[in-house]
Amino acid sequence: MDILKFEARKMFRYRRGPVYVFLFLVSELFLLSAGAPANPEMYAHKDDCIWYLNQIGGQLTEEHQKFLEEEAAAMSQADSAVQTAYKQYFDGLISQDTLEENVESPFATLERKAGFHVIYEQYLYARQDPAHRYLLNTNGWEALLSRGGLDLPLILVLFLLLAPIYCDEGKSQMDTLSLTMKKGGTFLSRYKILYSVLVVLALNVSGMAAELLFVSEKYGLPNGNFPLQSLSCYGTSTKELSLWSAYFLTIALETAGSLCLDVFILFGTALTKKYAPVLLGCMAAVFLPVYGFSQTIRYTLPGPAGFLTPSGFLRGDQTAVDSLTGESVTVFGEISLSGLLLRLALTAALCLFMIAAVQRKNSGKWKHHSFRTISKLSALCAAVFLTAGLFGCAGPASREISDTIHDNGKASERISYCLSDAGHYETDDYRIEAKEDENLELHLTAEDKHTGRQFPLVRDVFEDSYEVMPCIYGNGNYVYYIKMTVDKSETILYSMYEHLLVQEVNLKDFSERTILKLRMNEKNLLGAIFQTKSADWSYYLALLGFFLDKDYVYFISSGDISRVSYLTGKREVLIEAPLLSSVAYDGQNIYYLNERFRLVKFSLSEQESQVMSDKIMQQFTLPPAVSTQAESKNIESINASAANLLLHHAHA
Amino acid sequence: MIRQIYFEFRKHFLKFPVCAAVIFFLLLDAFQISGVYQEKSIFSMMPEWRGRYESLYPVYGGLITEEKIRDLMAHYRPLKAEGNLRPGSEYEEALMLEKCFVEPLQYAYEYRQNAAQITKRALENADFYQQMGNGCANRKNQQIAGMFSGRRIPELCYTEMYQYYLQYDFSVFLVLLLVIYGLVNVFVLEKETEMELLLQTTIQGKRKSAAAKLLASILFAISISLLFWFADFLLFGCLFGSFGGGNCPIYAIEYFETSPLSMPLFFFALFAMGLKTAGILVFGMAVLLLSRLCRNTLLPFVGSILLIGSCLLAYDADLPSACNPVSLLICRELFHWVDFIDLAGIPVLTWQLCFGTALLMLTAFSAVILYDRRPGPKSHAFHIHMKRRDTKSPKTPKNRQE
Repeated sequence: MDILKFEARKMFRYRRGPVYVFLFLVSELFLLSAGAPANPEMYAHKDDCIWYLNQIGGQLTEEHQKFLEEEAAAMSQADSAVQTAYKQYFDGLISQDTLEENVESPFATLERKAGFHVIYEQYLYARQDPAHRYLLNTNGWEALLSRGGLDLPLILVLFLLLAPIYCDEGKSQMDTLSLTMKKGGTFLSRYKILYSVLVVLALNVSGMAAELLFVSEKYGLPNGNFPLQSLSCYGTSTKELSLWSAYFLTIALETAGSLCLDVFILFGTALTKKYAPVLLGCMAAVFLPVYGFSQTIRYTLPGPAGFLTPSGFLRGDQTAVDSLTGESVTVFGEISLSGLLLRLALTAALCLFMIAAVQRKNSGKWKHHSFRTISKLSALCAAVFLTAGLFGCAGPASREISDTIHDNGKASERISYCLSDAGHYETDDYRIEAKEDENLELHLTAEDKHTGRQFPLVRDVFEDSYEVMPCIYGNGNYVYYIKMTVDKSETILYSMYEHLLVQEVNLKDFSERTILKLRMNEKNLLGAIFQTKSADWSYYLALLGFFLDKDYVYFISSGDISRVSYLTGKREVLIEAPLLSSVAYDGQNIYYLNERFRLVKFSLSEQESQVMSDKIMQQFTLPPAVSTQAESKNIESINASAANLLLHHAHA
Repeated sequence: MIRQIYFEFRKHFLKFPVCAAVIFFLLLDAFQISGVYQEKSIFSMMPEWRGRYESLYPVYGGLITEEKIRDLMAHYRPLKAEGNLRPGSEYEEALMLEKCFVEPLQYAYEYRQNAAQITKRALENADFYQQMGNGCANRKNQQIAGMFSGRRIPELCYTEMYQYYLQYDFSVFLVLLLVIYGLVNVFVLEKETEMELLLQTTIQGKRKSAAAKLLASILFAISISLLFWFADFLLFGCLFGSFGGGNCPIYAIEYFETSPLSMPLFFFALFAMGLKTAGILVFGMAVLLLSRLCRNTLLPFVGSILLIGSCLLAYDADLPSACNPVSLLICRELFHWVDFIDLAGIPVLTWQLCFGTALLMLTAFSAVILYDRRPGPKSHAFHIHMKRRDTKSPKTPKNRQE
């Protein structure tokens, strides 16, 4: 017991153990909170989904199917009823009161439409195998079970804490001294191994407890007794496991993986007494199988790599389509339970052999090492400096973009963007328009108002390598347009586009630059080391319009308005409304028509929407020039004129 | 000095573990490349095509002439019309002709026209921007016109090997690991055994030995990189069964259709090797600097992993990469588009800027490594002073007793 206490004191008092553990926990929490939900739509409409799941959650019975099909039919009926009612109203066939009466019950049906959509998608998936695929709220379980990559902070903290256990005395050759002691040698070594195992268990348990708490708090973990196949990534698995048992199996395997890594580190350090070769070996043993080679190899090799990414042991067969012949090929074969046990036994045997080797080698007595504060600090500074320097100039560059856009906004002051004018923008000197020519090809043309000369706005010479979207946004002397570059590499399976670029053109001298770049396909980096999720290109293809401010670009599609940050490139949905036909933006607020065709103002600073009038309207526009001298009256004047204009349009 | 460099090289790098790691990683690399061949090459998917291709290559391959095109289309069109989608030998033949001859030939034939179009448009743009008084954009377009004028692909070559060789960068990962492993010890080795005090007292010690270490490290990084790049090249050539196509221009590969360069593929392969080596050197010098600043191996090792990992993540997240050496490691992306960056009104190609910043970083790191005066005479005294204070402090003896 004393020896354990002694080892703990060495690790936590003299080798900055608490600092590493603290950093580990902080980075784990950061990674967890930065992670996006697996099914963002289900997360956004959680209440609606839960309402449906309370009725039909669990196994898919005949009744449930009937209920869902009937509900789907009722929804589409209600949808068309609403459309007909409004069409009749706009055609002047019925009065507003009749309209209100007519749409009341369809809107009651449509209240949970977004949630129903999510559940219906899940139903389509479950219908293929109703015995194993149940309906449930999947986000929490996906977060726990479907992670495919390595837990990098855990691995680094294991390196930092465990490598010095044998190395510290070994590198000053004090280990021979311990052989001469009564309680040295194998006795001491036994306790060292025991202690390292305890540390690994403690780290694993704390990391997983943090994860479990976080996930159950954020997403909830309902219906743990449902089968594993309910999650789409395990759909083809043949293992009869419930979600909870799959989770416990996962954490058991992951702990086994960390223990295996622990034994690898101890084995290496006890034998060589040097850091560098051991760390290289362990890195190679962990990283190469995970990032370098195929999944089959990763889960076949004995060692920590497969167990540290345990989801593959539970997965079913995975197939892909051969691009040349069009036949489907098995990429990854399911690992049976006996196969898993065999691999576990092999790895355990390897670990036991390594422990025996460590015990044979024995170990030495610890020698106190003082680290100079200066070298510590300078190493830290250097690391920070290097990281900041090498990271590229992300901060300053983006800042610069934001500043100019902000200035533009200030210089012109009056922003008045309407979706109906998405293909058109005018300044004092130029008229910019999106036009289709006789071959249905889209061109953005600029016309000089003084001379009447027309010329293309997009002056990129590589015409075959990009496509322009039919929407523009103008602000003062700047015009913005979107182009998608076409992918010509072999990753064409995923998407035919490579990047989406939001370009800024200065109308003074037509200089052009990129202010937002989103990747549309998978990037293959260092032999598939990273496979980040690419942006959903089909969403961007259906854009109706866009506008931007100093921090975000706002994209309007037919069902929602979402914004993408310049810094992170992440898309988040701001407003959801079906049939966004009329949208306006005045610099601070977004105006749109909700599903009941009422004008709604969404304040960007407060992130709140507010229904502005009870009038029903089909379309509205902002007046092109709003006097913005009196700032406090600014919004009101816009509101008033917007409403007026709207009336004008609606009853025309 | 040369003797000293050789000595440092032998001390740090000509060791059994380093050599064993290099050989092991070379084997892994070969394994991975054979995986690429199995997965991607047309001839590994359709082994029976190779013989047919080799017999048809002398007929349709090589210098592109109108006559060859006519012959090929006369052969291909009836097959395509009859074979339709019915699997069979005619269908196979049509598919083989399409993938191996017709599509590449079409691309090569049309490239000349496309390049001429681009040149024309660039010249128009240059005029337009001159009228608008935009000097920078004018210069950009003139440069583009210069690059694309007269471009054509005269020959139909088998370029599959170059295509996948230039897309392959698993070996970069291996070289990075090896460089971390090799360099992380260079300055730490003497510190760990407290021998660096001894080094101070020798004539060749201090800065001279630091310079020797630096040069030996650079030599190591370069030789390891070149070893792997050439091994890759040879392995790709052997597996794909051809080194041909080296004299085709780089834009004969569709990925480089809009590349700013127009050198032959073989020279581009050499050029890419140079750029990758420069990227490896930048990371190597960063590792060396960490090694210079720390007193044991563990921290610089983990620090290097973090540093390289964060650079990779930053590159992957599409953060501006002009200052990120990873863009040199994955250098094919620099030559995918003609990409300019404005430097005070002067358009500079992105790869030139990347290379420039990499050189700057290299010199800065080397200068810091060389002119870092620790452990010099002053800090040496300081070190001893700290040691004394350490032994006097009440904690240490107590701990020793335990």
